[in-house]
Amino acid sequence: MRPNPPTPLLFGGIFFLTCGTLVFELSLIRLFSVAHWYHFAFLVVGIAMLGLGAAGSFLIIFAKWLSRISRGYLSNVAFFFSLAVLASYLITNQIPFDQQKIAWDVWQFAYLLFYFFVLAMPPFFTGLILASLYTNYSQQIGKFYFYDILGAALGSIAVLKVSAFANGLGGIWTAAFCGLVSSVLFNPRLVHFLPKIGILGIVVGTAFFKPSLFLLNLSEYKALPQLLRPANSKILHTQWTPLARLDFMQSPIVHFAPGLSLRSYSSLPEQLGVVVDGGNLNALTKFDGSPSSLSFVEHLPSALPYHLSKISSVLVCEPRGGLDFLSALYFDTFEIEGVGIYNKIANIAREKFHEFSGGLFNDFSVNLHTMSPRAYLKQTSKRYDLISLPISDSFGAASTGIYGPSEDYLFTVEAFMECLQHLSDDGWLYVACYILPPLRQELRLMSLAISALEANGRQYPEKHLIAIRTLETFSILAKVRPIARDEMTILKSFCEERGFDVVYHPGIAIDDVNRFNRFQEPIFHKAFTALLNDSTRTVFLQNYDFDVWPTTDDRPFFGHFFRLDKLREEFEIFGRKWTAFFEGGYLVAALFLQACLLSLVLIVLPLLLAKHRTALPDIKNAKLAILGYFFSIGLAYMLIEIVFIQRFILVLEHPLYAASAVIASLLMSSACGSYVSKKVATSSRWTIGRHILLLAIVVLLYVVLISRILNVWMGYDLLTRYLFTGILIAVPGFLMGFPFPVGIRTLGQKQEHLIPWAYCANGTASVIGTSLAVLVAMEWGFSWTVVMASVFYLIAAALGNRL
Amino acid sequence: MKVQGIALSIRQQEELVGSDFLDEGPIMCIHAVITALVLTLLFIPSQERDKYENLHAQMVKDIIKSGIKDKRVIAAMESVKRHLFVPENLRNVAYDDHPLPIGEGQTISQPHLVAWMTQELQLKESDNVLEIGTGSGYQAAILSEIIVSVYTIEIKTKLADQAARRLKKLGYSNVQAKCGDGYFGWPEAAPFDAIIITCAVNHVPPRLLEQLKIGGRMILPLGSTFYYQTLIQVTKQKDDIKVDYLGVVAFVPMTGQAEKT
Repeated sequence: MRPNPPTPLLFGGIFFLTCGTLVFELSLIRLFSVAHWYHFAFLVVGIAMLGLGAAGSFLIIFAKWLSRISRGYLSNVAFFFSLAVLASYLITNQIPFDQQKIAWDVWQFAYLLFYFFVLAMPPFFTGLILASLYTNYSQQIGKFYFYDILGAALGSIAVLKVSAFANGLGGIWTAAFCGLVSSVLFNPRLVHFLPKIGILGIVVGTAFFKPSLFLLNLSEYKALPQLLRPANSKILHTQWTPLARLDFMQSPIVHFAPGLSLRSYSSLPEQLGVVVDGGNLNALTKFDGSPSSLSFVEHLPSALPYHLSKISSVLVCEPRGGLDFLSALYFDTFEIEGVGIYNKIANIAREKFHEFSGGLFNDFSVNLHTMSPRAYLKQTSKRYDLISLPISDSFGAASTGIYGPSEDYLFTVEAFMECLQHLSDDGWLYVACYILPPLRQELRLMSLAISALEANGRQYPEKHLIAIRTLETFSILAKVRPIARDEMTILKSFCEERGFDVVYHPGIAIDDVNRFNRFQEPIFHKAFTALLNDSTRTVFLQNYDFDVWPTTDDRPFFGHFFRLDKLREEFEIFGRKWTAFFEGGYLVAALFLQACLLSLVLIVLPLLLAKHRTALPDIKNAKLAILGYFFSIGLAYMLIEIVFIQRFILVLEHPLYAASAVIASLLMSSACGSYVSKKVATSSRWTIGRHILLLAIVVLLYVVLISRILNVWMGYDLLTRYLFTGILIAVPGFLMGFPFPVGIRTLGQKQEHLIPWAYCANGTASVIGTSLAVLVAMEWGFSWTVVMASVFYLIAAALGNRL
Repeated sequence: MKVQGIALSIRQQEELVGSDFLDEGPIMCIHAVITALVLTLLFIPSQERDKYENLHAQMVKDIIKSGIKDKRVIAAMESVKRHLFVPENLRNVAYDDHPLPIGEGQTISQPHLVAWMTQELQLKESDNVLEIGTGSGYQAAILSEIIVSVYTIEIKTKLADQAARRLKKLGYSNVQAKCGDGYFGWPEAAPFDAIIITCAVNHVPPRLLEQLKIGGRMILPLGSTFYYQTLIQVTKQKDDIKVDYLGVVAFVPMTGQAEKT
């Protein structure tokens, strides 16, 4: 039986359904990043997306469902999607899962499996509708696919606007609403959709009258619940933004002064905690407007540059709670500037805590630029006596957590070079991190500084560097001119007075190290001596148990230290605790393995259980070609998408903006490609293989050109950069829109019943591709990830004509 | 020399503490104790007792093998029965060298770590020691075997009550336990010769530093990362503070109440 011709309402239904699915998934990542941790969010949502592929698998096994594409059926499934969105959030919010407990509580694995199952339901319903429609309308696939990815593109933009509302649940409500609209469009008869609106209305009413049911539960191990421990602590202000949840809170146990000397511990003024996503702690420090009341900053390691030189101008990158501004004010700095994309904290402080912060952010002497430090440095020609980078967060702390381990373009060789170029002749670059042995961050910071100095033409970088450490922090100071003898004298007395250890200065003796904060061996000194010595550096980096090579814009994963060839040694170093690997981003590897395993099940299961499998042996070779083709194009698409997102963060300044812009642009151009695919692909001289070959070549061209293009663009204003990004991505995006619909159409002519299986292979490959892209980028860089995508397209090109 | 902690025999301890993780009832009177003891001797198969004894002996051997040299610490590890401090369903693995859940999202530390931290405190018998994070009371019991006076604080009410009752039942009368936030210490009992923090913290709590005597030592897992921290020892001197990094450890962070916002 042939289905009725598609109507505009049907396309509208698809559009809203895929829009809702994307909004749901992206919102979940945001919510789980707050309730748990970013990498958990990445893992869970990644696996949940397999629900799309599972629908394809389901339809192969229960083939009779394929013919159920009546208006009523589609409408009901779309409504189930809507209910599943709300139910999955409510259920997962109540499940007592906590990843912290995994190390000792086996029940947590059961909870985790339940999480996967529940969260996979909304994408499953979406997949059920899409796979059914693709099978029944295989010859009009271009148009269907167009509305499918156009909806997803809109969802990726809409999530930016809606996720901050309703206590962070705006995305969930929007996704449910999209499902309802989709349901209505599929079957717009009053008698059908009124009861559905009624049911959803009851849920909305419940949320209105009993909001506590819907409020997000945070892991008890996160910073926010910990800070709320004392009886007299409370949250003063909470704000959800598209980028993060910010909590300003009062608690007697707030203590944020990285590296403060233990000798002056009690001098820290009252602070308000500023907690980002329930986890990362920063603080607003009480300031009465008089710099003399800030004497505690004298006891911070960040006071060192002010002692070494007269600092007249300072640029604070990512000032957050403004602690570095207080130092600058205390030391009477004439010109104080801050630059960062997280200036929301400053805005809230200005509006809500003006008196507490002594008008710090309103002060005319503090000039705040809201943009990424890299973009600002590209656009300004000013030079500073001090450029201060933010203290590097603990390992793997992602800014949004959308796509795995954090890419940080402020901690790359190129970024350090940019900073050095904006220093005055006697200016200092100051950068710090928390100490957490075994040494990794500290060594990477040092190797970054060395590489940047060398790239800036300093033949002897060891003459331009100073390093100190406190109980909890490690700091590096680099300058363009060689360190002077009197500066070394000041450095020694500064550290002596505060109980800080000098780790390195030119000509340091081993007796001068490891005195106050003592390791059993002077491990810092030994490692740095090896790193700073030109003849031993490469051997040291090659043999060290962790990857501490300098990070670059092509591989900007500052928090990734694990080496595939040293995993055994690293496992021993961490006391045979596998959980330590999660912090370095290897949870992505866990996702990859799980996704591979589940994908295998989803792909193989239909072959074992399908009722019409008797017909399958005749097309054995074709089956492999189908699998290979759709799997390859799915993998290649996601590899490129993820690389583009990570690469464009550099020019679009924030991972969330980059993700939205890239996904929207890529999907919209792919939608256009899909729409016109029928005309092009049916041309007698143009085969699917040739098309994909062209696509692979275009993608490879981007590998060569992209670094240069992005470097030039950084100097333009944000709007222009967005525009250029859209155009640059649209070219491959348009071509990437062809392979899927052309493949489905071809399959529809010969083996229509296998379309759900192809859909399943493509869907599961997308999930595998997401984690594979991050893994390959972490190990070998973005360029090789794109090369890998091209290889997958070449495989698809070879298989395309055998469908 | 033994202090009060070992007033009862090992078997008495075993029977007295019974299934404290399940039974929250009143303290037994002495008759009940004797009756229970007799019944225990009659009905608990000797094989079962031997099993714990063998495992316990092996645990102590392993601890010595791992480098613990302080004889008082080794003696304490020998006399305190770890299986009495874990839930009944985990007693079979009580002497394995890894942490075990004790409820309320908390764990009992691995035996080697307990021995190591205790050794690093370099305790004298007359010392007054504060422990932050009582948990099941195992660390407090070990300290009780070595020194005169132990103060221990636990933030989780249920754990604090259970541990206080268990320590009392086992006869550790030199342990003062209370429920409260360890971040602020125990000012009424300060100053302390040593402070031991058995939960991960991201900075040295200033109040605890104040409550440390000149010459006192504080040992703590620094760094609030998910799975591991640096174990450090802070020594308060007259005009200075010295810090020694001891190694990498894995502790559960200090927790607060689950928050709904």
